Amino acid sequence: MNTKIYINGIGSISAQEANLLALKNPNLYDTSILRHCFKDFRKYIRPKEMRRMSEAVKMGVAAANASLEDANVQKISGILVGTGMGCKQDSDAFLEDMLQNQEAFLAPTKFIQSTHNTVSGQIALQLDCKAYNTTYVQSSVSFESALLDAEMELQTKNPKNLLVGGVDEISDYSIDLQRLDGQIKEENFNNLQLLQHISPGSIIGEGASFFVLSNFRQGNSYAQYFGNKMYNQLQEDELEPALRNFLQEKEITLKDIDAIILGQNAMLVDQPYFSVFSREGLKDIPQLYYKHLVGEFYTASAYAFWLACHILKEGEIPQTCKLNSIKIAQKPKYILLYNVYRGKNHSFSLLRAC
Amino acid sequence: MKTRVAITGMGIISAIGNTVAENFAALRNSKSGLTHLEFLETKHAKDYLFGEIKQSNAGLEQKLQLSKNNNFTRGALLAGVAAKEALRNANLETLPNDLAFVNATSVGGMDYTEKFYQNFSDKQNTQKYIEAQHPGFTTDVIGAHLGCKNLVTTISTACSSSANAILTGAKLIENNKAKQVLVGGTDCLSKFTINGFKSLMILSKNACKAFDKNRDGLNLGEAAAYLVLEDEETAKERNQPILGYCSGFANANDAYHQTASSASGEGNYLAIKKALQKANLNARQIDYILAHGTATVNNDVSEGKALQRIFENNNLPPISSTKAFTGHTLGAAGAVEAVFAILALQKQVVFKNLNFETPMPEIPIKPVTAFQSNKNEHVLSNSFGFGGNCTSLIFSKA
Repeated sequence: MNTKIYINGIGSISAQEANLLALKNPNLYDTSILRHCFKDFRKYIRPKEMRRMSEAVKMGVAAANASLEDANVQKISGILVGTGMGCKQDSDAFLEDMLQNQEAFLAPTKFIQSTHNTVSGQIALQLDCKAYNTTYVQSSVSFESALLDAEMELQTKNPKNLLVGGVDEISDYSIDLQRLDGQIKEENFNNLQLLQHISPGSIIGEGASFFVLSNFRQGNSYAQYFGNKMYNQLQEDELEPALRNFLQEKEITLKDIDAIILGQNAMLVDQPYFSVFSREGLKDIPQLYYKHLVGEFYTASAYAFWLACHILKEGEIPQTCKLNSIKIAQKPKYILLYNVYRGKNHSFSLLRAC
Repeated sequence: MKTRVAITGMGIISAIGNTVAENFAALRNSKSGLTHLEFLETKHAKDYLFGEIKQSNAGLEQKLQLSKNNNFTRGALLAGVAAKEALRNANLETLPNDLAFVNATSVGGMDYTEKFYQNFSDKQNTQKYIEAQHPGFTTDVIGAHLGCKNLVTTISTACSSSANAILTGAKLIENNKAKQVLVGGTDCLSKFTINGFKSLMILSKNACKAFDKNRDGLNLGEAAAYLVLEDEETAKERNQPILGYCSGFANANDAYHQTASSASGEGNYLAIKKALQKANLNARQIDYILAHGTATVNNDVSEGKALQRIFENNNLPPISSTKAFTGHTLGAAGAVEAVFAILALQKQVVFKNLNFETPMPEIPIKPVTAFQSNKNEHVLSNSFGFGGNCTSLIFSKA
């Protein structure tokens, strides 16, 4: 990576309010399904448009607009979206209608909006943006794939702003299927107690986190994006070498890392990977987590990216995110993100203070 | 100076053949693959013509030597066949550890989701397909089968999905993120898409007539097609024959409507223009156009308008849509037509635009009327999808 990439604006919708201060008293949930708590869609979307929009589209459009507003940017050169499931609600609705009505009397609206690139397309439509537009749908590395593409798109001398985000919605239709598949915890408990409930499933969530990534620094830049690395498959003993290789490529070492934000989801199958971070050499690095706050979903790691941006800019660490008691440097410089879902689609992402 | 993106392998399975050679034979003989359905169970099996691959899932499982308890959906099965042909063609059967895989799909595992959705709970042996509802699952299954362990990702931008996978793969090579990338896409027929396009009233009961005045919609098809993109130097170092180059690629958004194209074809125009700029070519240097040409009333006029603007004074090189051979294979279409573009470059030919009779009154495009030889240095391939997504690729002779 030759060109320096900066995060110049952020917008996030999740089960938590989008500021660090609010995380001092986080929203609490006693269920394994954490819906987003955003109420202010009217600020970004006209009521007439909103009626037809599914939750994913609403969240995506609102978070995208919030990040543009934050960066004070009007013109963008690309929209890159990651989404594990795409527009699941509309997709499920069309599917159920089709099955129940035995392939008759179907209206096209839900089908039209079921395609996975509906969010990126709707953002383009709303912003009248004819530039580059793409959507990645690779499970827990969907957002990271969009980041990798953005990094390549920003390799130019001309100043350029891209909108990059991750979005996924909960669909009532398929909650039961996810339960059947063992993805959701059977017991109810307070979400802050997540780590005391290691079992097959997790608590599930939804949200959208969008970022303005630019190849130039602004006065209000949050952080520098330092690149990522994805592995479709890793054995647990390959994780630490892979991490060291990644840092070596970035010409830093573990000693430089001020904090690691883990995608700890309390799922049994992923514990061997997360426990690697309790080993010698890694356990003395301050570690944070976030899925107890927003739930597990394919693009939950975009929330971790949002968290890292805030921490690097403001230097504050939300107490509720601390996974170990190691003290974090006064002015953290490097934050590393690690995520995995069901033993596959691993990713490391690196951010650096401006 | 950026490296050139070489193509060193390709593989395809579609309604007109199970291999690249079989597909070329059908193109040469101007033989369409459109029929009524024999394998997919739907009320509409005999109502419309489709590009169905005449092989059962069990037959495909056998071909890939899968165990009984495999979790392959049809899209993954088709992908397995085509991807293996591409890797074999590139002499990469022993998979390089750092080979990247950029897949594309719009249907994903929807065929199994719609089959089992209502009774997942009583049939435990179907529960392994619950996750098939998200497209990354299809890619994970194929990736694991092939042995891809590092960068594996999926693009889903409706009907331009695999054109965008090729675009991303080319960028990975140009940016030195990978030396070899398997790119392409897969989509099987499903009740979901058949009923979706039916509800939009753009399915034709007849074999589609791209660019014809009397065109009345598209035929759906299923296919998987893959290319091996490779850094030119890497290919030369291992003495691997180069089949062609991916010299231009661009994506733009129409920003007009979720499903319809703007009357002026603005997004199409921008994508073609940017692809030409990327390839450092002017429009006159394009020898052949493989159009998106779905034969919907809307697409062919918009695409025609865009082409008219690019190729001034209607000075169009030979142009064909191959959709009446394979059907519109949605997320796979861009990769299918990339394979056809490479064949056009290798064999120095152009393919017949089947079923064309009368030019459209709005834009009198006259597509290729017979399989014939043509001097091809550069071929343009267009793919446009829902969400205003427009992608154009330019392939050049090796």
